[in-house]
Amino acid sequence: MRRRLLLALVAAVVVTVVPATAASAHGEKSQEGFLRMRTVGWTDVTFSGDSVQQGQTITVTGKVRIMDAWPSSLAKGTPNTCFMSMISPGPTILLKERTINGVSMPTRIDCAKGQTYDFSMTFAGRRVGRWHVHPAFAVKGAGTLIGPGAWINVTKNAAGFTNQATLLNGKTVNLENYQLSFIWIWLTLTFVIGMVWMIYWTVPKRTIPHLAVTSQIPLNTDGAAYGLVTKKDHRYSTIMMLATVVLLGAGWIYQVSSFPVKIPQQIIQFRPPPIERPAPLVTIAAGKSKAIYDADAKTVLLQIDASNTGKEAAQLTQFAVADLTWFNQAVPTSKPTGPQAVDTAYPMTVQQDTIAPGGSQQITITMPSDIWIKQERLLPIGESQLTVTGLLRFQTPSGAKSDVEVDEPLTPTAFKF
Amino acid sequence: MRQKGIAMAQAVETHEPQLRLEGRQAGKPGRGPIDWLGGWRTCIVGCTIFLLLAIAIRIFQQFTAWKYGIDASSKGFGRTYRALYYSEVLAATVGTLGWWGYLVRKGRTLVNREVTHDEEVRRIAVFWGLIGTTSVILYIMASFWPNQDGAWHQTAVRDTALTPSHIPMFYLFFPLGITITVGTYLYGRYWLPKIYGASNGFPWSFFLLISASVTEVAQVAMNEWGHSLWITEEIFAVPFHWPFVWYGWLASGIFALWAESAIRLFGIEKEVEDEATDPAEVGRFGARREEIEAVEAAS
Amino acid sequence: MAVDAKTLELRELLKKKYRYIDRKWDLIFWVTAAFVVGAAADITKQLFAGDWDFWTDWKDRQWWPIITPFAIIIIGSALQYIQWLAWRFPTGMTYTAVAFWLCTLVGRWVQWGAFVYYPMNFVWPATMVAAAIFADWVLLKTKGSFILTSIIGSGLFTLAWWISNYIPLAGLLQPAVWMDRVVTLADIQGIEYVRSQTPEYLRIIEHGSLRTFLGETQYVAFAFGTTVTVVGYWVGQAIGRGLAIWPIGRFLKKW
Repeated sequence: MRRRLLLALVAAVVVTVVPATAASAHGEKSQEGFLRMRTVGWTDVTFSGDSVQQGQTITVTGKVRIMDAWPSSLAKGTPNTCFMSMISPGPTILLKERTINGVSMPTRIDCAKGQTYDFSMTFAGRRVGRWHVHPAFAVKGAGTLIGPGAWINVTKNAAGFTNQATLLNGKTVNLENYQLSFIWIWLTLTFVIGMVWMIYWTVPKRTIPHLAVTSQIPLNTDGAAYGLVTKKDHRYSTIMMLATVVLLGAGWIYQVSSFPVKIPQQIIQFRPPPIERPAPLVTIAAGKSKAIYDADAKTVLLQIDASNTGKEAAQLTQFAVADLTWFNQAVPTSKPTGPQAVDTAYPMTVQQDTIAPGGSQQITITMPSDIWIKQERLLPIGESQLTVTGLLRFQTPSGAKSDVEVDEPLTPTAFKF
Repeated sequence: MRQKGIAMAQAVETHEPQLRLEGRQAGKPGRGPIDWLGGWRTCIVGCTIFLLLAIAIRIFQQFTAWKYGIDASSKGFGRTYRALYYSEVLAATVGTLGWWGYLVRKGRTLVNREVTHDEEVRRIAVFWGLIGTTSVILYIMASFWPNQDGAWHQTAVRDTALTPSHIPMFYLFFPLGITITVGTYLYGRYWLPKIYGASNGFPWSFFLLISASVTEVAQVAMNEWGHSLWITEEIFAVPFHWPFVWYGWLASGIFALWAESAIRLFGIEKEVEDEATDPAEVGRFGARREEIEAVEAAS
Repeated sequence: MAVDAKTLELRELLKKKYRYIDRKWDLIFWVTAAFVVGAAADITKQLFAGDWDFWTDWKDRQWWPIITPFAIIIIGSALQYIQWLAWRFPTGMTYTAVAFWLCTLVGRWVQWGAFVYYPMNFVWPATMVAAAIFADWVLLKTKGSFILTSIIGSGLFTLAWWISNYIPLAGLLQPAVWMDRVVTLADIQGIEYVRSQTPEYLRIIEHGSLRTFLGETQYVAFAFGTTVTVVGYWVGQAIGRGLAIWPIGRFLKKW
């Protein structure tokens, strides 16, 4: 037994001194690729900064879309209740404000497949350190889908850190420790009363030897005749019980007088006001597009048949897949400023990236497969659905942007990596 | 009288080597059957070792969990938590088989030997020490780690079945539950044959307690399967988790162990009382009358 | 009144001095059993009622008072049976409560506080100690009537549990402002201290219905909570009687 303990401890010590790279993801890569792509699509995610003092804020904004391709195996195929939050290694940050389509979002919302939501979340630094945080979109019955993450530095605030909340009567309290001393004192007082009861019964009286007597008398008797339970025991127990009544009474009076106005916890569920969005400029012809994984060339290709229904030329600038955004290297300004941009070392090339107004064209997008497979674990080889799903962004010379969903079957040339 | 004294001393000497296998320090002052460093030493050591093990892992997690533990696909995770997982599974397996093997091998050599009252009481105290250790391990597996599991999984993404909170809980202390419950049974079966000897059958008390530890481990597999499939939200109080509680209730058999051994303790007290009516029959180590007569007859 | 021989014998037996059975056995029992008892109560509470216990924004007046007392009375009831049967001590519920208090507080502070850094005024655990005293007192006064204790004791238990845990919660139910909405301080704790894997829609709390009896939902919850706690009490009795006591001295002959 000791040897095992030693082995385990030695192993534990050894692994602590071995240097290791810090985790930059939050486990989203363990979610199946096809699900990450088919559930929600993230675009234009931007963090307003990457370093903040405790108590000061950063805002993340962007768009999140519940894809039309939402799988039927999740939330019975019909998302209807949703929530947004920040993924963080514990409450290293505090969520101070949250809006959805421009209105405040305290708790949950009604949602639907095919809807795109503009969101903003303002969070304050709380715990000093370097943290990887992501916006997240949760769908009831499915779980939490993770958006593009960024490293945030939270630095110490020399003036100290508090988390102020404002009561309806205007008073402010520090939520970091409001009522904390009272809660500790109260919990300790109840514990002390319990210990007094236990000590009363178990210290003056023996325990194990009682078995010799109790085994000879009926269950529903207190053995008073034999000295098991005495009149003194009854008296003191009643005193302790009454002391408990007094404690509870005192506590009740305290809370009634200190906090005369209380309300129950609130649930605020609503449908976010819809945002009028222009009709998509580009449509993808159904059944004519496909995705290919070329195992020899180590590329992932997306071939789409697209039609431009607008009055200006439409150029393909971005391809957003799950929490990643590929951008057209021929259009440097199309690189997203936020954390979802794929590194320029892994270029996306687009053949025939511009569609004339009213015209149709086959567009081929080529991306290195290393990112898909090794880094992001996004290519759904070995999963139960071989599809590639995402949002293609087209832009016109006048700056109009239009996102169109693409959801195509994936054909690998070989099942090798 | 002098001859009888020599014969008794010889009888004592003959028995001494075997008695020295048990409670070999029992003769020392302060190491008696019911002394803290005597019979109760197992309790102190056993309970402390596992508490320290849990604390050590908890300290390790404090420095590593948020840095390396949140992404199972990362190299850092491999070097810390995956390594911990493999080493603890290996160490627990080797340690368990080693300890059980020792108990069976040694137990077989001494199960049929009569022992003195002092020795039997010492063994019951050791037995209570093993039950106490079982209680501590059950606490660590059913309260200490589950609190962390809730805290972790409601905060971090559950990416695989090997998370920093699962690794010490499901894959170390849950199996240790089986180690200690079966080990305690083996100790009872061989060292306390008057209570748990094989001729009585298999005790229901141990059946329930061991079943609790085995079904808990089995439930881990079901839990991970469910979480990988349809339980995608991290709510703790769901019917899917309830088998953990039901199987845990089976551990109530532990109370029967205390009761059964306490009953034997009263039995020993009665035997001591009965024997004390004839002081001449009682030797320094409480050697049995028949053995003394046999030695006297031989000399 | 003349005392019979059996009574005298038992009185003497109670005071008897033994050669081996000293106070250490008692101490070891009470201290080592506290681990498994506290843990059993803790895991039962965690998996039957845990989310309501973990967070202040779950401690509502409709679900919390029904689910939690039911969950926590189970092991206490089993211990009441064991400790009364074995020693005539009306301590089972309180013993469970103090062991459970220690387990849950260590767990909450070491894990939820020190590991994940939630402020303790957000994740403080409910206490059952005050409630337990009433249940044990009723057992004593009824001279070990488990039926009366299950009804009167459970009723007092539920009420005392609610009072003793509403008192620390009250300050966090004050109305406060978050963005442009009025919510409670507990709600703000829930919004601001991010729980990445616990979307708010998982919260099972009062959200209104067409039947709220002039706002007296709370009292209906009490009444139902008491009934459910009585059921919990008997689940505990089944555990104590069937799993802890019944096996004593019993052996499987074939398997």
